[in-house]
Amino acid sequence: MNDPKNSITIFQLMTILGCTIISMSFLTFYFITEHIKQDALIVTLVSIVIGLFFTWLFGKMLYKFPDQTITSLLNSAYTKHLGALILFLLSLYYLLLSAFTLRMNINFIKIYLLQETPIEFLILLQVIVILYGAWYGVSSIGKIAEFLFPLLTIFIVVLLIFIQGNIDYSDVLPLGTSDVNSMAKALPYSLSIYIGLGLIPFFYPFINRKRNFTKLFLITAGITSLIFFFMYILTIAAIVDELPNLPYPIIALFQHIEIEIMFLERIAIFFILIFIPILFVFNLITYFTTVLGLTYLFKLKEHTVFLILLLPLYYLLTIIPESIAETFEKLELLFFISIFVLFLFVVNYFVLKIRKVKI
Amino acid sequence: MNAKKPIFFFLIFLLTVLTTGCWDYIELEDQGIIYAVAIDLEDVETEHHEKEDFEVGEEDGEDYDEEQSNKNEKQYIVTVQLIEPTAIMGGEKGGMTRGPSWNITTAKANSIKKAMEEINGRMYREPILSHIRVVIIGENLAREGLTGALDFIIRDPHIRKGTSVLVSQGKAMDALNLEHETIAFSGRYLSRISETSNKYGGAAKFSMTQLGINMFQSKSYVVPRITLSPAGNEVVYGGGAVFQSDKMIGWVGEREMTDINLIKEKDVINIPVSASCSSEDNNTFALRLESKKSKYDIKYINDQIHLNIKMYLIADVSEMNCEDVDILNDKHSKLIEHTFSRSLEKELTYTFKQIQKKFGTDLYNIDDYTKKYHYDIWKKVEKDWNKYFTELKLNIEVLTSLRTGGSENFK
Repeated sequence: MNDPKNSITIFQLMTILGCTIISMSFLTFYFITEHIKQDALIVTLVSIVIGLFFTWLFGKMLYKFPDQTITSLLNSAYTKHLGALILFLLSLYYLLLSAFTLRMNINFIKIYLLQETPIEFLILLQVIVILYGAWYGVSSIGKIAEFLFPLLTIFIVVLLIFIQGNIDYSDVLPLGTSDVNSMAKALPYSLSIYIGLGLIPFFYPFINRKRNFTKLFLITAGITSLIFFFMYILTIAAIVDELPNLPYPIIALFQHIEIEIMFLERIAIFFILIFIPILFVFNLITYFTTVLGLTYLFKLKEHTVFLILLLPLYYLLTIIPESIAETFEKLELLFFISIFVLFLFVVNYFVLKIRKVKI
Repeated sequence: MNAKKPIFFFLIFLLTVLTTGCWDYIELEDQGIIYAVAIDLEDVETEHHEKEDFEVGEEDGEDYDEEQSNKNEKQYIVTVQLIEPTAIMGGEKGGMTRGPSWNITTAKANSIKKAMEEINGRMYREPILSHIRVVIIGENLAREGLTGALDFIIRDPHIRKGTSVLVSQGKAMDALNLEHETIAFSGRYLSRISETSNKYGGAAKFSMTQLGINMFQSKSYVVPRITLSPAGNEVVYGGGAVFQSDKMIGWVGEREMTDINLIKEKDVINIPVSASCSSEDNNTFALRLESKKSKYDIKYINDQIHLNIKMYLIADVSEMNCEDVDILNDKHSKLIEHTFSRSLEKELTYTFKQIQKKFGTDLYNIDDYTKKYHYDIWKKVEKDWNKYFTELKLNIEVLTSLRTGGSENFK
């Protein structure tokens, strides 16, 4: 895996991070607003602050221990055996996350685009495309994220600007009316938006010229956070009362708005064009992270072994949920677990710092 | 390794997945574009089914028959207007020489989905729901309750959320059979009339989204009304059906609808409002509202809500029939402003009291305002809002400023 051709630039890594943050913000919104409606904005604001703090810590950690793989980072902090177990569990977590978010993506395609097409066939196609996307390793994933992220982000921002005239911002009121317990329950789901930070230690070794990228991490996380927060404000302002009934609230935002210009009349279609690829890139990145984790764990030279071996399991996991309700249930649990994943790395950093380990 | 190649193929793959679908493939000529839907309700006793209709044991069959015959199921009459795109090519009115540009199909079933399936079977085409622009609800259905009937339409991801909703006084299906000289088909006529009517002082378009939100929240609201002229060739768009949650509880007239909107809506412009010149002069004058700004103040005193509304209006003189009035004279102009303001205050207050008395339910969205800006008060009155609304004390102050008075000034 030290092949110089199999490397990514820091910009590509940032776009990978950006893709995961934006995708997770789409996926978790339902869980955040489920019980607290308008106050989701307060919870999200708190999680953005915590998320940026985590970003800063990750930047620091990677700067202090620049040439380490995920294995050596975990081993140094948690001992060899525990480190291996954690890496295995992390890989498993990302596999499950990838499989169930893929299922959510497929459910979405089934509802909005291909109603008659069997779900098994849709999953199979997506899995094949994921195999193809991940086959050439980290460089092609970096290139895909580098190509899609700026394009899609600009597209989202333009669409958000377009719908401004149709939004009554006073509908975000009243704020601060939910009880603290409900807000605290929503916070883990909101924090899970930053689960992409947990992927960075997997991809970081592929960067050639390492420097202190903390500022760059913060800028990326900051800009993407601003975009999704803006999107949240608009969604809450536009359809706050319907939120508990909507499994895909962000899509619903664009569905509820009609712009009286012929080619933009059905603005939701434009948004679906963005929504599917960006979620798909998220599936690709998380699946590839699992493959990387297991490749590191078993000290293999080629990632393609696990890339192929895991595919049947990946397909089966994706097909397991029998209904959209079951998919949501599983995702809710996975999103909740994500805060432990983030804390795991935070603990990792502090343990290494306290021990003053030189690895 | 050249990284451009995999990206290229990746995107091609992705596009292939998203843009094709063997199962969802419908030939263009097999697509039945539905433009308008009318839903009526008919209460019929389910017919007694013959035993041989069921492939179940004799004993079971008897039980089932008995159960069915005792049931008094709701029957929805769904009427759809299908349009033929090739026939209306070249303009709304015209159309090419390919026969009629639309046709009407009706089906009856105990659910909208079932009725749609029946229509599908009859028209040998796959119904495309994404082009529906107007949904008309019959009065009988509106009075019975919309939840069961409209769930299918609200749930379907392809139906535009901005689709207009209208309530027909009488049967909804009759409105679709309407033939109007200026527009190719009735669905288009009805959707256009609902979209543009507010420019001429009529009720604003009421969308499927608004209906869904109000229904799910069990709120009160007004849906625009259409009434078919006796000759059956014209639709009167005015007034509205008052709903509490999903059930219609009555009608409001055109004037009441305007008055409700004047208090409720933020952007009420272009509305022509007329008033009497004075108590001695029976002539009238009319103003066209150019802009409106309102300030609300809510107080909770002695277990009662007091609402003060200060309404700032900017208007143009559209018509002036009052004797000896020169609108270029500042004194006269001020007098007109004052007369109009007092007249409007009286009218709005009167309508408000009528709504309180007749319906006892909040058609002004005062609950929303209270919730947003006076949450402490809202918590006290939330559970018994209709009672508080009925007892609400309203004080309206209108301040009008005249801007222009037309190109001529007849004294």
